[in-house]
Amino acid sequence: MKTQRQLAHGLTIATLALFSFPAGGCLAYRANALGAAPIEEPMRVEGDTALVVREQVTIWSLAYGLVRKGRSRIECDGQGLQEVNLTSPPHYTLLTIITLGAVSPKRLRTKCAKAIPAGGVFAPPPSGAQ
Amino acid sequence: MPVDTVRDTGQRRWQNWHQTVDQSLERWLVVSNADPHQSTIPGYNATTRVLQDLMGQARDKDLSIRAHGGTWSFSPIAATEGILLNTQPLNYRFRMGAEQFHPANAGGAALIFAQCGMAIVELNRYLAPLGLALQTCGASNGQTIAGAISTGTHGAALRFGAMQDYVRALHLIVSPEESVWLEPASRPAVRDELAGFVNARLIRDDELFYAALVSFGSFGLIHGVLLEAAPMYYLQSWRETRALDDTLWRAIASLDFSALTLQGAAGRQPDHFQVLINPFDQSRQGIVTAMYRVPSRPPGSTPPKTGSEWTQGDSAFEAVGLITDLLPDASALLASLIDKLTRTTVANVCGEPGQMFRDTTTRGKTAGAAVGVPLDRTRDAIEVARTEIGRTRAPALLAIRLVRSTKATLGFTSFEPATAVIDIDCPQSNRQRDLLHGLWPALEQAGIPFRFHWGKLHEIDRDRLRRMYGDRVDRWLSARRTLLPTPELRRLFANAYTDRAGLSD
Repeated sequence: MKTQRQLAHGLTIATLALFSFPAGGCLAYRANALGAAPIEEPMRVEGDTALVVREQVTIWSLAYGLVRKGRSRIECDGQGLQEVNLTSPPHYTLLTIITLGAVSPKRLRTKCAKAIPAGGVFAPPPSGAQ
Repeated sequence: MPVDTVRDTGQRRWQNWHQTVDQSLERWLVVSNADPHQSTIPGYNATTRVLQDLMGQARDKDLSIRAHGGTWSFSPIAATEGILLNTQPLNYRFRMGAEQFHPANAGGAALIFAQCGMAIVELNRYLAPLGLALQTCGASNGQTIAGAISTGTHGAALRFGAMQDYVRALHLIVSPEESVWLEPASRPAVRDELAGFVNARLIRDDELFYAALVSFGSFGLIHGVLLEAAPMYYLQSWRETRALDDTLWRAIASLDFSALTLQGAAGRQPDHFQVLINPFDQSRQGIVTAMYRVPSRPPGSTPPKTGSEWTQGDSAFEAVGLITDLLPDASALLASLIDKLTRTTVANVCGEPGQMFRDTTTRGKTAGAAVGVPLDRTRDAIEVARTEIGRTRAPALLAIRLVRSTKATLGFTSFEPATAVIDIDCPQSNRQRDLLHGLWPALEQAGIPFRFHWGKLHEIDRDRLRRMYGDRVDRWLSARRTLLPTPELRRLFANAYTDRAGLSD
């Protein structure tokens, strides 16, 4: 009896743990450009002209898509995107449920690809250049 | 558009890709080339000066300075409490003309000079149109070249070796004032004056070169790497389920695979060989992958697929770790499930190396450990690992990959004539930690010589390192003292990890 109770207890905790993960880790969707060199760094500093950018914004779909709010054009200095992440944290999901989908925020995270330089020739630098 | 060459991330904590390391630090900086769109030697030299300036700042503040690449290492080998440099944007690439080859290298293979942050995927894409390929790489392609060679990253190239084995020279920044072009004296690569192109002092010395090859940032910052590329080749692959029987273990011990009658072998010995093992499988079978190098794609072969549409979510490993901590019997079920999913047959799939080993889909809290063992102790090591997995019920899978011996002084694939690398992969969990904590003493008690993969999870200390490498440790330390002659410089490139391993002195 005791073993059965322990097993039931364990199963309950495991089930709760399993179902708490989508909430804790957010409902997450990710798309990667195949063959892009991965790069890791923290979020973009606004106004920075960085080579590699990771940016996170909240996008809103209002009135079932009639109105949309949030940045949809991403500046990557012509390098293209490496990765797009779409997540729905628990409070975003809750808001969507409460409003029956009329207000539906998502968190959009984008990462630009690394610049790919043209190949060079290993040759002595021009005189004057170091 | 010119960009800032050094940007402070503003972050005072750093985590690696798999979140096994969480390090507080003084500064985490991103270093870029001033012109990210064209590889030029003056641009490269300007970045050398930027790196030297950062080194000077670290020295003035008595901080250590380290560089990271793809941050794929599970171990804290790249970490520092001082200044950490993200070198991923440093991806210049240069071809070497034949007229630049050293006379001893006349008629030699193609040489490519790659800046430290160039990722393997970038190298593959750069080399393929030139009709060239890397001799080997890891199982996927996101590491940077400097990070990969510095930690001894390997594939399963049993007739070639690990990634550091195609490096012909290093451009190493050893102080705020000096950089060196380091080649082996026994195998010079380029003419003497080329070191001057990058304002470096030429050193030709086998002992120094092979020590610096696998030195995980402790010999200074590797700014550039001269690589020997192979003419483009293709890998023809078969995967099959086989019994883990005496025939298989004898083949691994002897590197003679003829008795295995592998599918697709047709009398050939494989160039790539690996075995995946589910330690919970009572039928004692493994999934064997063998690949053969061919100069062109054979008619009738199938190109590699880009992968399944089904992959694990980013939180999957964390969830599995938690569930298996709570329900140990779930480990066997999960391992068996993964085993069944991967137990698909592959027959005559053929592609370029860059098509066979491609983007990883693995994110989140995974744990990877690996040791190199002598070929004739592979079976014993697997049995010890299997016993420890049985004891801890960690949801681990085992793999064996065979790699030809490296000349790198502290290369962990240095057993002769080849090393069997035993991979132990599982989600991060308490059971995983218990498994690895028990596995290393168990291997020692079984009298199995082993060497830790520098980039994977392990428990290193001075004594264990000495037991693994013997006098190679002294040779490595001696080489380091030669290139970094003052205690101040040696401190500059040390970290808590090298302190613990006795490699900072």
